[in-house]
Amino acid sequence: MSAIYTTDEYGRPFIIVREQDKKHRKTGIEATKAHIVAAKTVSNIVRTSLGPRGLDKILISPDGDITISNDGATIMSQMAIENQIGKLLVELSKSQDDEIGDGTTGIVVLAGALLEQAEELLDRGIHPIRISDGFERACKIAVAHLDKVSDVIPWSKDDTSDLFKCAKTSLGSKIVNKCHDQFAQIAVDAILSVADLERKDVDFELIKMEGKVGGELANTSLVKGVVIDKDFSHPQMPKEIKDAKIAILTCPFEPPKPKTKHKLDITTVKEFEELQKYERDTFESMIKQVKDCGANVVACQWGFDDEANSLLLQHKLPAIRWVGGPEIELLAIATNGRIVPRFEDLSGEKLGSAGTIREMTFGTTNENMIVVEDCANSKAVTVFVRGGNKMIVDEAKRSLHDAMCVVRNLIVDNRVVYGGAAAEISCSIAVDKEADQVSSIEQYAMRSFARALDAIPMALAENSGLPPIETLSFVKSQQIKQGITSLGVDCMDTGINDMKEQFVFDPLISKRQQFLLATQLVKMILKIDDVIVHKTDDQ
Amino acid sequence: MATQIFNENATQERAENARLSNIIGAIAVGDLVKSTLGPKGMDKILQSSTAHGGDGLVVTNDGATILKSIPLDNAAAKVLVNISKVQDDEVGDGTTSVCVLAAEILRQAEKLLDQRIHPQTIIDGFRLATASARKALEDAAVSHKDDVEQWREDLLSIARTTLSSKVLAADKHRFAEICVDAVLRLKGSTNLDRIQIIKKTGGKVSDSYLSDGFILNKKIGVNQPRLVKGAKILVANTPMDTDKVKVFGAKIKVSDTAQLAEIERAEREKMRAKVQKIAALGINVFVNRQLIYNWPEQLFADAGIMAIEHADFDGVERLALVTGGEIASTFDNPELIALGSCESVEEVIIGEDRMIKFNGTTAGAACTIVLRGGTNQMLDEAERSIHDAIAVLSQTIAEPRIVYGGGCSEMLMSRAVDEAAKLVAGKKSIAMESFARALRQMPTILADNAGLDSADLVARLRAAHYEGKSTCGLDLFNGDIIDVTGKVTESFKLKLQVLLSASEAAEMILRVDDIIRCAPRQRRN
Repeated sequence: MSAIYTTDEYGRPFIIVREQDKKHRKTGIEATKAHIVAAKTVSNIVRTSLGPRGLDKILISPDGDITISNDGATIMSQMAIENQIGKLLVELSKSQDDEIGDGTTGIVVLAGALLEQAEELLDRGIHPIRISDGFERACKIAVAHLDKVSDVIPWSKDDTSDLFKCAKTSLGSKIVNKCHDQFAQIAVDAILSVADLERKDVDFELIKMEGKVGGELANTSLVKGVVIDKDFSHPQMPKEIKDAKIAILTCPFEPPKPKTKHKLDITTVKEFEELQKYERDTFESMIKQVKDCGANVVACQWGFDDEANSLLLQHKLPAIRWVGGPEIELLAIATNGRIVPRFEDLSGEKLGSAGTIREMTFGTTNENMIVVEDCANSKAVTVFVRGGNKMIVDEAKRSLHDAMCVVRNLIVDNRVVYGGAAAEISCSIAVDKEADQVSSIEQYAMRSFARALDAIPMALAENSGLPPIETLSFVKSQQIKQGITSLGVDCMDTGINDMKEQFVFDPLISKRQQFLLATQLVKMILKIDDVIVHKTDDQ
Repeated sequence: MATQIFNENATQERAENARLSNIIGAIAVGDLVKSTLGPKGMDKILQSSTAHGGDGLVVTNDGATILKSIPLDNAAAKVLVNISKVQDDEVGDGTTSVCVLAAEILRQAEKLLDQRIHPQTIIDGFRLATASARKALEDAAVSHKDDVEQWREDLLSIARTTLSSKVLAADKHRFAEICVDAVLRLKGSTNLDRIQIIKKTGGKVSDSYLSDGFILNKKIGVNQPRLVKGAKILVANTPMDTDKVKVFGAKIKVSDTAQLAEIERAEREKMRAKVQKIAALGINVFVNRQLIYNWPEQLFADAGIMAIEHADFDGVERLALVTGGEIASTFDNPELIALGSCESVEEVIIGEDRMIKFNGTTAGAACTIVLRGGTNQMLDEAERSIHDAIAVLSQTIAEPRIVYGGGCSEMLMSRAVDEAAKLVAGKKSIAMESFARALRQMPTILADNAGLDSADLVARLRAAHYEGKSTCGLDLFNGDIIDVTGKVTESFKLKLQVLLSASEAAEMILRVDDIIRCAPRQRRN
């Protein structure tokens, strides 16, 4: 085997792909099938994480750090997949995460199932493009059907019970279901406190998550205010301040440092003395300016000179230094204060106000955090996560984020479909029915699409320890017989199949996005018929 | 057909293999530390692989220290190491117990998995079990905070329990007193930095003492008084070497030596002015965090002030606390500076080092423990033991409830879980029974480590608890069952944290069915 070559019009050979032995090439059906196998392998890994009884994965990073997670997007992004098609699936899960925030496992499982079905069709000799066309049509039907079976859930600021139930559905599969109600309530409360209900917009920047190992998951709480992982700049400052007026500064308590390059030469004793006087005066005027505007607490993004620190203490101005950029913004929003870049600009109305500022201490390590509570503006909140070890705290943060995304999605669009794979089963029935009326080859592809949808309830049943085929056929027959589209897989073994009664809801847009993105990706993979991989040099 | 989707150096373990590898890893860690558990537990020598002289040698009984030092490569083992570290940070002691309990729970879970019970069902059972164990523990917890004498006795007992498994066991009564007194001086603060531990080799361990004053490991400047009575102390953090001009970019530029001399004089004058300002405060002891150069030191000596230089951050903070002064950096507003005071400041000799002792301190919210011992390893281990004890005590002051040790609480919880299991229908109850068995393993290990017939003792202990004697525990010195009230006491917070952390970790490990290990990062040599 040498290079792949062809001849030009004079019969001279020219090379298309050089150095054949260093490259790896697959073409046609062979390439497509290899892709399908790779995609199936990836989707099989996350498949066991699906549903309330799904299990977690341990991911060990190249540096030996451990992540334990149930979140599809996290698992996918951390498993360092090298296969090209595998990487596409990682992207798929990531885009679902960015767009919707939840359902990142389901989407990968669906894509895997679709490709598995496509493989069978390829074996029958159906052209990949015809398969994608069929999938496309089926997807349209499924999405239209989703709209039909969706229900509008009513909610208002006072009645959040339905939002709460959706958050519970999202949290059901995570380890935090130990404190299920509590976490769901935190997610709902956090989102509702920052949501702009008129514009139906939720700014996630306003929700901060702080984690601290120790205690247990049940100690997790929602702080209506800001938690700053710092302590007061001087050990003898008071640890608690009531009715705080906060000066939020982004200028250091240090001698001025002009940005332009300059040189200051001292040539005489007089100059030397003047400069020292100037230095002292600067500090004093800084403190005076802070004091004059009525502030009783200082939060500063920069450091303090020792002298300034001592002056602050003497003037009874508790101060926090080195507050990070995002925290200082959050603090300004929460306390209705303005971030002041120069001492001269300080004035009474620019101060933030908060009911209490206190220092929290933890355990035996002398680590402190500062909690700013009862703020003027309730629109900034902090979720304070506790847990017995580092991995569980991280996982709890991810789970809460997912649950918050679900609540956010419902605020944007309050239509839901039923979980427990009820929506998938119902769509599968609808697609199957439509398929019969299609006269072309696409009919086969559409039927396969319906079967791929069935893979989700099967995986759910399997993870829950139920017989998958039996469960699926039972639920399907019941859906058709009774005409109720909310029947699904009873994962928790409660004896009730109606998801409406079990209150298992998913946002409509999340499900729709899953269908659309998964189909799109599968179409793309089916279209690839040639892969050329450069083998890496061994040297 | 298998397709390689990961890097070729990556590995993946699935389903049964993953579970097995996790459980084996966790049990291995548990077995590693379990021989150190209890008053008859053994120590371990840790020899660091980076053999830089003989400093890599550590002899310890402290679970967190052992686990921290071992490089483990098993994911579940790492989780256990992490909970042990968290236990250390949260409560300070019980770092071994938490690992052993988590490992025992997983050992029981392995048997359940062999019976083909779904991991989530096992977890459900464990959750119910944890809840009922917790309730039993809460019901059994008592607080004597209102009864001053009983309260002190409780604290002493907790300190003794903690110390009894450590190197200081022989002198546990003496050290228990030292620890309790030290912690009570903190007046409720949990900031353990305020208790300074000074280690000096030489002498016997029993020569250690809690200083009635505060000791600073520094020297007094030359030509200055060695003893100051009725000390007025200024604690400062200010440059006393050269007072630099802090304005950015400032630099001295002179054209001839005469000018240079003038500037130099001005600098000296400035320092003199500063010293005068400080002296004008009416102090006779000056403690600075930063260096004091010879010139100002001489000035202080002339003014009859004892000047102590280079007391680091901790030292300055502690001094400010004990003497009641404020750490100052500016001296222009004398009325705003709070001075510290104490009866006398003197130079003392401990071992063969000179140190400064502050007697009769007013605020006294910090203190010093002087530890003596034959070898460095001994001192280090003694320090760790003391640290554990004061950490537990300070947490107990914050959460005053106590429970009984010697396997008593574990048996109590085990009984509660067993009884709750009888009322639960379904496979969950099997998991709960296993959880109870795991809890019973704790007294079993205690007895095993003491070389006693654990099967017999634990069975007798269980019988005693079922007879309603819920304060019965093991007497590991005589190999008998006794009423442990007032004898072996432990902090409620410690026990609760052990239970919760261990079950949380076990749950987390059980939930895993897949381990994906990325290709290790290539290191360049």
